This record gives sequence, structure tokens and C-alpha cells, in this order.
Amino acid sequence: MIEFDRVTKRYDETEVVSDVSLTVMPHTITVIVGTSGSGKTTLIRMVNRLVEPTSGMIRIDGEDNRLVPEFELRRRIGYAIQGHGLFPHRTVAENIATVPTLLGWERARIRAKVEELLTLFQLDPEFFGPRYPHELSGGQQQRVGVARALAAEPNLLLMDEPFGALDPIIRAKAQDDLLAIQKHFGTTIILVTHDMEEAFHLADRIAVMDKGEVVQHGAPAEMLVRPATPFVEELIGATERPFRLLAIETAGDAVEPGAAEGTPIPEGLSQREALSELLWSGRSALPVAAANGSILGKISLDGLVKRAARPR
Amino acid sequence: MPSLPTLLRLAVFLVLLAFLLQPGLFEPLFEPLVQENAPAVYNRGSLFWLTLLHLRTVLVATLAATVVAVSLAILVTREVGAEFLPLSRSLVNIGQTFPPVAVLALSVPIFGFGEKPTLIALFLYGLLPIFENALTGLTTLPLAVIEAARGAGMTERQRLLQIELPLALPVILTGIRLSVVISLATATIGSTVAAKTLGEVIIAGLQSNNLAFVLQGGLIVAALAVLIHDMLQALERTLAGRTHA
Repeated sequence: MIEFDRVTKRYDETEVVSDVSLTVMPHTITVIVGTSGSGKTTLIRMVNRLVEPTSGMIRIDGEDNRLVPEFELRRRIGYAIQGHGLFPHRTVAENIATVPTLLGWERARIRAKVEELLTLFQLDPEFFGPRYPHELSGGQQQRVGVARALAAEPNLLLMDEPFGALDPIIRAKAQDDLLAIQKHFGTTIILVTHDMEEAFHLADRIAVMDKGEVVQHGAPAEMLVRPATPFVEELIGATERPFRLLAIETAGDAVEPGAAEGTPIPEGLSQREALSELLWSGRSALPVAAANGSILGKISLDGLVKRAARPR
Repeated sequence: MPSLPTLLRLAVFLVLLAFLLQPGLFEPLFEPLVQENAPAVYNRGSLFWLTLLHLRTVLVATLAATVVAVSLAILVTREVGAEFLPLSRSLVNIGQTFPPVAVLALSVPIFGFGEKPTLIALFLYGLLPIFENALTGLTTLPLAVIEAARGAGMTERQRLLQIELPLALPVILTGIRLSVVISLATATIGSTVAAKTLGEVIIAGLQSNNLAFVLQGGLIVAALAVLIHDMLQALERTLAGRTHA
């Protein structure tokens, strides 16, 4: 659990972060959104003390983060940034091994960890381990960057626009990978982005920042239904609201009893994607299939339309 | 099959080696340049030995300049040393603008004739290129990389030794290369204060009006400079290819 307790950061006269109090629950993904200059990056950089707050306190699992030396704290917290920041003179394997090496793990343990992570990110350890970062594609570099952040099995992972430099197709894939990995390790993730699509896709909780303040913090659905300020409403985009609402839940959650014709929709797909499938196929309902291929029921246009309407 | 430039360099090296070890073989080449009865090839000592001493002087001076200049660059790029940046810049600049001949003239009364004044002159003259390059190398590192190193929990020392210096190395090496080439040529004037360098050959030629001697001294220094320059450049490329491609 991460608690921001009345955290303020001031540079000279400018207040970049103003009196932020926020609690991040363990094993969840919290996405901090806001326009550039809203203080969101400064906020997460105070967690691993790349920036020191002017006043206030940040507690990690109840403990003030200033109680341990900076470098020890940072070795316990994963940190992934935009443009990955891989060390160009070190191989992929050496890059991933950075924090475990600093922590003095045994070589066999480090090697096993590097292999595990590369495999998890669908990069063949034999092939990619000895490569240098410049030999990789952008998407591969980004995956190595996240793998490096996870190498020492941190409970907490901070991500600063980690997918910002990726093209849309690779970005969507990277987001799905992140969700899978979060499920796998149960890591608490705080992610900063200005991409609302990304926020609604990943977040258990969203915190919206505006001019250094957190103007709303809550579940994505709640934010859609009850935006706290006009700024939040604008950020979400009024015309996007029904689709964002559908994007939060999966097709599996909208299954109705009954049968339908057509190509089954996987239950893990978002309701928004299911809607798109329905509209494109021109059908009013499609079957929904579980991961093992068995048919769970159907998903209907009518059902989705009801779900997309403003909840009361 | 090695490329043409590589073959040329190899040829230059072999000719140089042959000339240093068996100068007598080249006598016919230089005879047209000298008056009758005058020696056509330097005969007042071993050219090979002089070349080694010349190289040693340059090596010692450059090593000292590298250690001082790089340490200074490291110091002024740390938070604690940032305020010394303007001061060290001016000091190093004075070293470069002060003519080596003047340094020789000033240091002979203190250290006497011999190698020491030459070493001091070369050391001062070689500081600037190394310092400026080390400074550039250390201050233009990719921000995301430094940020990642901090975020990973490296101490300041670990960042310097494991990330910053290795990444700045190709640029630092460029500075060292410039400094070495300058020193190779400048070292010849050390012979005016009795340092054992290839300048002896040139000075002997000037004193006895022997054009062949002057040419031989000059050519050896030039060949050394070209070969060492290219060698260091190849090393830089190898390093840079890995870090910045």
C-alpha cells in the first residue's frame, strides 16, 4: 500500500504538486492522468525519491520512504520510463540483471531470473540475451525496459509513460502484456499517462491531476458517471463516455443465456470490442466462448446498448 | 582482403620500421639533398632509440594530462564540483594558450635541462582537448539512460563507473587522440633544452645545414602521428559502434 500524505512539491515559487493525499491499494493498477505540466510525473518520482517533496510524507506499506537510503529504496521499487533508458553498452541480459546485480544475487539466480522474464515477454533468451539494445525494435526495447524494472521482483512498479513512444499496434500489445504480468506477479503498479484510452484499459483506479492537484480519484466507471470537475469531463471526452464505459468490462461480464449464430467472441475481449464485432458483422447477437472454447452464452447488441447507457 | 587505407598504413609502418632499424639502406634516397662529403643519413645516434624516447615522452605527458583532465572533468560534472567549472575551464585554457616554448624557457631555470621541462610543456598543452572532450562526453549522455541508472538504485559512484564513463569513453578518447597528435609534433622542440627526442635530428640538420637530417626527423614524426592517430580512431569507432549505433 502506498500512501501520499499531504504531499507538496515547490520549485522556487511554482507549486508543481499541491497537497496531494492519495492511497494506492496493494496489487492494483493506479493510473495517474493529466495534461503535461499537471505534476503527475513529479508525483510518482517522489515515491522512489528521484524528487524530494517540499512537505508531506509518502509511506510504503506504512513506512516513511525516507527511512532507508535512496539507493536501497530504489532497488526495491521497479521503475520503467518512456524511451526505456536501456544502457546502450550492456547486453539485454546485463540490462535486465541490473538491479539483481546491485543487490548481489548469485549468478545462477540472476541467470534464471533473466531467462524467466525474457520468456515471459516472449523474447527468446538464447537469441535476445546477448544482443545490444540498438539491435532491437522499439517494442522489444520497451519490453526489455519493463523486464529490467521487474527483475528484482519488486512489490511496487512505477511507470512513467512507458508506452508513449510505441506505435498504436505495439502499444495495445504492450498494455495487454502488462495486464497479464500484473496478474502473474501481483505487483502494485502506478502508471502515469496522458492517454485516456490507456488509462481506461489498464486502471483499477484512476487519479486525475490538474495544476498539481488530484481533482478526482476513483474507479474508472465512477469517473465516467460522475466527473468531479469540468476538466475531468473534458479529459474523458463527453462523446467517448459510453464507449469508455464498455471498454472497462469484458464480454464475459455481459453474457446472456441463449444461443446465437456466428463466430464466437472470446470472453476476455472488452465489451467495446464486442460491440464493434457485432456492428461490423451486422448481427444482433454473437456467441461468447471461454478460453477453452466452450460456449458460455451470447452477447447481444441490445444488452450492450443498455450497459453503455448512463448508470442510474 | 584488407582495404586500401589499411594496406597503405601497413606499408608506412614497415618503411618506418626499416628506416629506424637499417637507416643505411635509405642513403641513396637522401644523397641528392646533401652537400658533398656530408652524411646523408643521421649518424649521431640511433634513430630507433631516439624514436622510443620521443614516444616515451609523449606517452608520459599524455597519461598525466589524461589523468588530470578526466579527473577534473569528473569533479566539475558532479553536484559538489559544479562551481569549479569556470575556474577549471580558465586554468586549462591558459595551459593551451601559453606557448610551449615559453613554458620551456620558464621551467629550465627551475628543473634544469633535460626531459622535465618538455614533459611539463606537453602536459599543459595536452590538457585542454582532453578536458573539453571529457566534459562534452559526460554532459551529453542520454537523459533517459541516466534517469534509469538513478531509478535502478545505483549509487553515484556506480553510475559514474558503470554507466557515465563507459558511455563517454569514445568522446574522451577523441580528446586524447587530438592531444597525442599535438604532443608528437610539439615534443621536438624539447630538444632545444636537451631532451632526448626526434627534435635532435632536426636541430642537428639545422646546425650543420643538412636538409636530409631535417627531413628525416620531420618524416619520422609525421609517420608516427599518422599511424597513432589512425590507430586511436579505429579504437574509438569500435567503442562507439557498440554504444551509440
